[in-house]
Amino acid sequence: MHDEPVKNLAAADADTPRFPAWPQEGVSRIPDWIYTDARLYDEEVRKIFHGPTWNFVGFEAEIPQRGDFQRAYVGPTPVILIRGDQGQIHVVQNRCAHRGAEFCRQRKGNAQELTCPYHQWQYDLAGNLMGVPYRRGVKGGQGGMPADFKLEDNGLVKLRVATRNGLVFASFSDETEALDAYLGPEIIDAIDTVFEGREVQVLGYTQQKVQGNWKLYFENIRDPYHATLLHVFLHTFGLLRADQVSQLTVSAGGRHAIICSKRRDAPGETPQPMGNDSLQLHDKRFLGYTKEDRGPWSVAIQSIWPNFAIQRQSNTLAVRAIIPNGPGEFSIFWTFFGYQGDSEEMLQHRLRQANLMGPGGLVTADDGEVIEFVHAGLTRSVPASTIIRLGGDESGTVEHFATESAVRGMYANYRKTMGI
Amino acid sequence: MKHSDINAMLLHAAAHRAYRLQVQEFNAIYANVLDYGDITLWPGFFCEQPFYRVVDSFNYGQGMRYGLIYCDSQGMLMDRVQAIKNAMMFEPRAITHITSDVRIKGVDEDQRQLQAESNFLLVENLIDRDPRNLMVGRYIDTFSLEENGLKIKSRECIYDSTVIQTSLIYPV
Repeated sequence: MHDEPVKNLAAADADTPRFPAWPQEGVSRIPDWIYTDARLYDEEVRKIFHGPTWNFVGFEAEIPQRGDFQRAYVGPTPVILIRGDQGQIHVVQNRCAHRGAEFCRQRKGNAQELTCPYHQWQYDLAGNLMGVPYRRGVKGGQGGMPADFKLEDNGLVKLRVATRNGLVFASFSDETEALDAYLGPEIIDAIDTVFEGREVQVLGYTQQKVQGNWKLYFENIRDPYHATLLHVFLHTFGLLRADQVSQLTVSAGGRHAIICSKRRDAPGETPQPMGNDSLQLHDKRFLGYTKEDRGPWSVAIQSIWPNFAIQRQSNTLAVRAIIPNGPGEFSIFWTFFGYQGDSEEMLQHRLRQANLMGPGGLVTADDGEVIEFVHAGLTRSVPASTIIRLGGDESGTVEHFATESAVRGMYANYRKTMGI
Repeated sequence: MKHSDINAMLLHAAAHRAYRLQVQEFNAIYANVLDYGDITLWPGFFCEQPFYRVVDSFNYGQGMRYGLIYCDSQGMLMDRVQAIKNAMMFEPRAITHITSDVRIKGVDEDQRQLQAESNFLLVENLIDRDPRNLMVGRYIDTFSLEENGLKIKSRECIYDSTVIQTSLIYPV
């Protein structure tokens, strides 16, 4: 990690605006300070991640039994996902109500109750405070908690929980709309295409840390412009080419987006050679594709505001949770999965094809690298703004990839949320 | 652990000094090829039908089958090399492998296969940055003992460091 100066352009004086003005061109130009300003970052955490949004925290299938728990994040904030007494799912903040300890230090496990090791405060699986040592004092009443201390007022912070097809979402805000309304019809259809009627089988996890602003990654996963240019592997081997049948879907208000395309060797398409004169695969099994859902696309990357991506590239399936660690760093938690009932052959195929993705992915390693280039450029240069004009200045769904429409949509939604 | 267990381990290690030296030499050449040599030679360290995987110790402990890098053929190793050379975009970097502490876990009866473990530390250098710890962990290996030396039948690179800093481009 390198030290980098954080530009704090926000004026402290109450008479001047909180932040510099957004460029007058609107979302076709993005000012540098939104990626670097520490005060803006704090507001993002409050208004976006702790605000009225649904954040992906895991699969129901990861905590099948009563007492199963798993660490997760909502924005930068650690939470715990727990299977409760009656099979219901709880999400609580990973912070003891007493002295604030982030007490759960195990990635996953099973417990009868949650106990903070510091002073042994004990919570049930829903996060209710069950017991406080020496509450009544010692030796018949010496010390102890005051009489007005009530267990029921001092539980863990509980988040709202909503699920769809085994995906678990959490929200800190009481004002967040119902999950289906929040996701909208396009994302619901895309989620159902991957998960409806199927039980997930987790194949493994990987964690990646990138020295860049979290929004650069959220842009990246909804930016088809770079996909055929940066990712030489994709177009060389025919997984994604600019002239394929494609669609960029942008949901109402620009909140979510889906990048979709169809391989030339997908059913109904005219096959074209994979590889070229200088580059051929030695093991051709690796890029094979068996169609396995009702959708028309061989690749679909959903970006679900504000922390979530669902990736389906041929037969490699993964979800990605984005965790901001400050204005200049974020983590990506990848969970690779298949389905219960997959044949051994299909499982092996998914494991081989997972080489495309993740921090060591033949395709996606490029993304972490280039985001660090961008963040360094935005942080270490004379402040300016950047250009998001491919495909015009509007935002919306289009049936090609020569566009940055979904990035403009993302910033239309962002500006509204942030009031900047 | 009983004192007799420690004695048994020490005796076992002493009985396998020659193999230990052989694996140590192998690791040194392997690392040198990856760090300072011609990476296209890398698949040549493996048998015809090898298994190679890089995964963190959490996944390994949970019995997860996923690997950050997962190859079950020579061809897949070669495909990774050609992707690194021709199809991936990354900042140029210098990586140094430090490998150490070879342990011989077992030798099969006809002396055709050898199980071994050793530790690795990968230090990565990027432009204008201080060196950083990219990965630390252990190799869990099965070697095939062949006429002209060792070949990897299976190499699992199990890293304890959990988080990948930016990306893992070159093999471990």
